[in-house]
Amino acid sequence: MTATTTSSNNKTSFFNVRFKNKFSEDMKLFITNLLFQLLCLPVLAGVALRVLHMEHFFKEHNLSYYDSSECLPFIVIAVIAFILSIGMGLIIPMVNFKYLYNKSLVDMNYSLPLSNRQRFFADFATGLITYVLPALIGAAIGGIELFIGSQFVDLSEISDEIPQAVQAGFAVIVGMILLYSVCVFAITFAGSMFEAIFSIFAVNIMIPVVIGLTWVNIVDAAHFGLVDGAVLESYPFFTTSPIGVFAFIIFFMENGVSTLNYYNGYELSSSFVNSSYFNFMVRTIIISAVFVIVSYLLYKHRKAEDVSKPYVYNAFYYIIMSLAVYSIVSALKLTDVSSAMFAAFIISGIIWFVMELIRRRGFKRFWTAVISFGAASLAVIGVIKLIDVTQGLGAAKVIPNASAVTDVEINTWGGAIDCNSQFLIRDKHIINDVIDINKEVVDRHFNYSNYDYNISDYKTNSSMYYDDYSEENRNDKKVFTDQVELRITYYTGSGSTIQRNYYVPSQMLTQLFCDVNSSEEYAEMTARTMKRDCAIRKDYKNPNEISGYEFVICNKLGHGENVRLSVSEGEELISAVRSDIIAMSSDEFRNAEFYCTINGTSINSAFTNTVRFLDMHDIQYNKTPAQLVDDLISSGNIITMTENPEYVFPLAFFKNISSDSNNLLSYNYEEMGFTNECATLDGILVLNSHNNDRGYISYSRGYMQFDDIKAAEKLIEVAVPVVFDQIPIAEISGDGYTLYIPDEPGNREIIDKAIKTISFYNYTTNEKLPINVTEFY
Amino acid sequence: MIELKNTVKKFDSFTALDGVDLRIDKGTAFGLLGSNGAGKSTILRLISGIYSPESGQVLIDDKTVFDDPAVKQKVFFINDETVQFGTFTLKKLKNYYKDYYPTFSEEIFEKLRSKVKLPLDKKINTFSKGMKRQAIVIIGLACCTDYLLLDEAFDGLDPTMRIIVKKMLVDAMLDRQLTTIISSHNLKEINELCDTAALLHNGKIIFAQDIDSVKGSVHKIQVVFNKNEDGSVVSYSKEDFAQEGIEILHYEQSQSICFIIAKGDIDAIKASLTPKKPMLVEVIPLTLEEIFIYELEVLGYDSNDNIIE
Repeated sequence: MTATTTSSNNKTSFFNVRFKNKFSEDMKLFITNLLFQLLCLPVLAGVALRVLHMEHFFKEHNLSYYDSSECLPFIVIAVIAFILSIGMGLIIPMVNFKYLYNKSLVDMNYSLPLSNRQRFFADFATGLITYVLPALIGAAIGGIELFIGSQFVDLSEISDEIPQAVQAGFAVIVGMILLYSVCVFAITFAGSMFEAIFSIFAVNIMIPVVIGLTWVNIVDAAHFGLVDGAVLESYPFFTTSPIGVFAFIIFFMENGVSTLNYYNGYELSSSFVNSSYFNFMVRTIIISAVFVIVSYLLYKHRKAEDVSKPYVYNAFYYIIMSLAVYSIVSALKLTDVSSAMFAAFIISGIIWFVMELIRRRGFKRFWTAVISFGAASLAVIGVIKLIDVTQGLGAAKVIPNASAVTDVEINTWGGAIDCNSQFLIRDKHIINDVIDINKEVVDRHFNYSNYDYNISDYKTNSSMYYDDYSEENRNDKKVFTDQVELRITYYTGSGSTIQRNYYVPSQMLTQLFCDVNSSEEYAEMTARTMKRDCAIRKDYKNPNEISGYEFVICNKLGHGENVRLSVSEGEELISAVRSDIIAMSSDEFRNAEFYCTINGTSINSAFTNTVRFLDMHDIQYNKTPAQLVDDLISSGNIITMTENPEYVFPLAFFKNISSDSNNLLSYNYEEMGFTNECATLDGILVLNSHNNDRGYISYSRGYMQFDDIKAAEKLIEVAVPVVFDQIPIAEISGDGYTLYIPDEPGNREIIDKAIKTISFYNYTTNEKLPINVTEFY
Repeated sequence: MIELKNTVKKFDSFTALDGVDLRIDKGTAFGLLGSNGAGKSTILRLISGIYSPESGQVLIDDKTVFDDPAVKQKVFFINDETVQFGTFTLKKLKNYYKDYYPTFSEEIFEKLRSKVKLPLDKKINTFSKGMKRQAIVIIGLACCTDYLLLDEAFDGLDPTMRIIVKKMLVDAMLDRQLTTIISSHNLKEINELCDTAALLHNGKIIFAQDIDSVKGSVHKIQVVFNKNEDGSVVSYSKEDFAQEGIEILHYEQSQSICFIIAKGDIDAIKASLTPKKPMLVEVIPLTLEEIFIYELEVLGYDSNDNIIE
């Protein structure tokens, strides 16, 4: 009665038999998982329909805003169910492969007419289906609910988000597959239940932790240009662990890659967004497949008789433990405390020996544990040293090719330049500008002997203290006095992001900013944001119906006036601004005379269409010095004027300090209270000294004012909001703006004259005080 | 036919089987005997494809058994535990194995089950130890494989049930030429059931031949010698009887009465005694258990040495 079926037939049928039997064994898990999933997306879909329906109902009946908190319990249930369902990814593989840890079950399973391959893949597939299929069923039911609901409820508000939600849903499925694969991988190298559970958690946690800490080590070792947080938005982090996938989904759902998209009217190239998602999916699937293949090979070569061993493949145990040591050492190394490394090895040693005690089930040949810990420690020190010696594996020198970059995002902080401090642009010319700047910055750092000044470790610079400043830069006023923090984010065609952070002299960015501010993309972005921000909506229920536009036109002191226009006039103005930016050359932007800002966009003499429109509508855009000083006095807020740090001279002018500021500035010590009557100098005056250290001066006896108002007018007249390629000789800071006195003939005299007309008066008697400004410091 | 060719199996540094050569013909009832840790269960696991040998070959019908489902389908292995079936009912277990073994016979299953009266729908972990054994033996027989491997199969069975199970096995062997390999410490059962046996010790085969010839080759001879003229007892040692073709496994003398366990041709053994002019030579039949003990005693596995004094 020998079986007569052929070998090839058997291969297929035996797989199917195993699959059927195993799935039958998994049925309870499947039903449990399905219940969790049914409580998740279908419930959320129901909540969405309920909320939309109620919102429409409230609108139609002119009721107050619908409070959706009644749905909160259902959302909580859905979230808990989702977490439990995802957690099944840890339980299902354990149950499906538990026979590996029991001798009787090994006998039973291994003696069946199955090859290792058939047994492994059948067990793997049934577990995966038990895990993933309920999620797909839940999603399908949720989709059907929305489809049926759409016949009764208007879903247009969420219709734009549905494709993204579907994409995120597929990312969740891929993440589930990765979690399941990682768990099976851990199960195949462990030899007992306890070690398998430990390994599952260790592998899932250790992969993202090690990637994160390795990057932090690289950043620390490179000392230049790299950004700690960049690793959290990189493929190695996103695609190698379930935690990374979770981070990607948040990243993807939160803002579609860049916050600039939503808030500033910029749009990332769809090619980046699509390839980011596509690359994530492909890479994660490949990583999952690698885990499956490795698991199969481990399973195939695993011997049935190894069932009683804690680890069938000890190498993986030692890798996990070595990575734990590496993580502890790296984490404590970040503290920069000299004894931290010593502490790290003591902590690691304790953990190592406890784990060895558990693994060995006693002290048998325990001396080998000491040797293995020594070897692991040496390996960890070696890796960290390698990263240090190679200055972060040379990562600081990596600059992407312009051809690979689809978009570039620039953020700047600090410095004298008053330009847009953040933008996202895909113009190839501007991308080349950025890459050229990046190359120069890197070259100045690594080959500083070729340059007049060096751009050094941004971490040291970021402290902003002269004492920390590198020796070779001390004499370089350009770097020191006008330092800008520059963050560059490259978005590449392959969907990855590369971030760099530098401290550079602002003059390095002049050309870039001129190019950006005269680019078509900037024009489009400006028009979009103006339309969005200036439109006057009839009511909140009908956001698309507008009754006009309201613009804020600010003079160079930042004092704004609201200007209301009709719909057609507003659109005409926006169109004029847009066409002027497009028509303007980079040089025109640089050399034109500043007039005002319209909702933050600088309007200068090159904006011919805009100026014509403003003239036609009798809208003032270029105030006279007398009007500016009048504005200054009537608006009544703090203004500080600081000469170039080289001169070490702060100048202050106060008038009618608002109550918001009086806690800082107008406390009258004699009257023990705040005064609104006049500006006083008794508060705190920010003093920019030559070493950028911040000091404070208190003066309690009087207030100050310009005796000669003409001198103040002249000062304001020559002050400009933007300077190019030069260091201003003084700056005047006000409530959220800064003006600069350019280094031009006659300007020093204007400053001196203004200073000389400053007098100090007693609060109560208004008598002139016998002091002059030089006594400030 | 099952063949083990120079098979070596190691568990880390421990060599469980050391170059074992074994041949089990189809239709044989084969008994595996041996000391604890001799390698009996290892041989069964190698034949059932659970283990793979470090070197050598394990063949069933000339095909390597490890990782070959078609070959494994010819074998059913019943190990010495039943805990793995605890969550199954007998019905579920039957269906489980039925899927893997297309030769499964419902008729045989029902026939055997009715004999032992096992419930179909109760979980096996509610069964007694003997019932669990019966259950898996029934399944093993119903699978109708060419080879049935039983590791300590009769553990936990009461005497009546032992007879029933043995009868089941004998019927299957007679009906369909089932090859049965039984590993047991109960030599009486091996003696009753098996026609061929192998004795293992320290991973090596001591002998492998049919039981009758084993019994025929080892003899227990009671010899009474005449006393000397002065009335003293003639004293002999084991070496005094050794000669070519005769292996003395055991020698014991009490006064003038000697017990000799010898391996070889009985006539040659008797002839070797003639020069010593015995008063009486009597051949006493040996049990398999005695053969087992004396064979292993020669190899240093002596029950007297293992007694804690």
